[in-house]
Amino acid sequence: MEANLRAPRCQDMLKTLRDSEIRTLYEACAPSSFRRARELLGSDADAWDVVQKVFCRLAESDLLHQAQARPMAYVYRATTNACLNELEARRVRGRSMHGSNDTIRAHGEAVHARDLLEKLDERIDDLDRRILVLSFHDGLPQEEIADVLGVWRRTVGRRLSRLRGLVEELESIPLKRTL
Amino acid sequence: MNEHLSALDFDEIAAGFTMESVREHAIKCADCRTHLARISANREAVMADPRFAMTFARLPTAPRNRRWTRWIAAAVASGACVALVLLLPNRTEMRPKGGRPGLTLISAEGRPMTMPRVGDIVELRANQEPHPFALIVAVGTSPSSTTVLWPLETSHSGRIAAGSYASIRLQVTPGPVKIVAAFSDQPLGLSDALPPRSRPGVEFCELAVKPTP
Repeated sequence: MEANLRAPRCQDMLKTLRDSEIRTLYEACAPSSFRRARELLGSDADAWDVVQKVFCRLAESDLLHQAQARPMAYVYRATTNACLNELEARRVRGRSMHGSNDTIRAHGEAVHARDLLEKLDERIDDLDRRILVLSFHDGLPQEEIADVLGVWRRTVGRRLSRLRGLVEELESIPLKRTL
Repeated sequence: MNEHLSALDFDEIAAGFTMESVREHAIKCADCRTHLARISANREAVMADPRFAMTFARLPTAPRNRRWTRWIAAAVASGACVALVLLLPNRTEMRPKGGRPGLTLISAEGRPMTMPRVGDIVELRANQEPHPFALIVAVGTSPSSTTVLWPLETSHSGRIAAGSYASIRLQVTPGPVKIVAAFSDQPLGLSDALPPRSRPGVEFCELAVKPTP
């Protein structure tokens, strides 16, 4: 009988702890997630959808432990993935990856990254896309890109070299290098 | 610290997460201080937006009780690397000859390996030739579970550029696991990687991993 009483109490405590952790993570990281999503997607509504997806997934699944090591890196990765999925969905729907013209003017670097994604679409894979966003849009150094994506730094370096080569082929687009 | 801070650093400082040395730089460096002030102002504006609270209110408050899945996922991820040893005991590389898709386990030193040990951090590579789309999952048996390893955070296939490969970094944990990679000329969904794995146009590569202590 005692065990039966203990178990639910323990679970309730765990739930409370997780809810509290998620609230803390949301308050700390959601503004950054929103800012990046808005820059990348060029739309407030789509950016809030991305924030919802990122934290919904965190709340619904057992990903909290992944986020605890370096929460902002996790949120960067999840936001990047959600944004790229949205851009791909737009492409499939036949819309341009770009948002409204006003937003484009407001977020020049994001437009640059979206331009590259669109122009290099057939020549790069999913990991390249994530590296491209984190390097060309966020300007993260290779070590942090590796940290965010959970890949080796030398993998990032190799991919970036190739990406820079591809970008340099697109002569009309200015190149912004990662440190 | 001589270089300026990265975007990730700024966001971490603004969120109250960062190390003292990074914070000190942000205080001493005029450029970084200005940028941090801009990030913080943007952050406050976002938090003041009613949609910030509305989005949080829509989040599920009672997480599904699936705490065991983290162990399965970890076991699957790490075990996948080791299963190679059992399936192909005399080969150090999982990639079949002749331009067919395959999986390769790479040690931290950058060499193909067959015997990962618990705690090792290894890289799993999947070459796509001749198929551009791939989906890699880790399959646990008891209890039954499937975890997508690549692409990250999705449940559908990703495209691997010609001449390139998919790369996943895994930490080896105790317990056997099977890694299944599905390759195709068309995009794949998660159901395509699940049994029965006999779909036309989809090529499979499996890797059973059993880490050594």
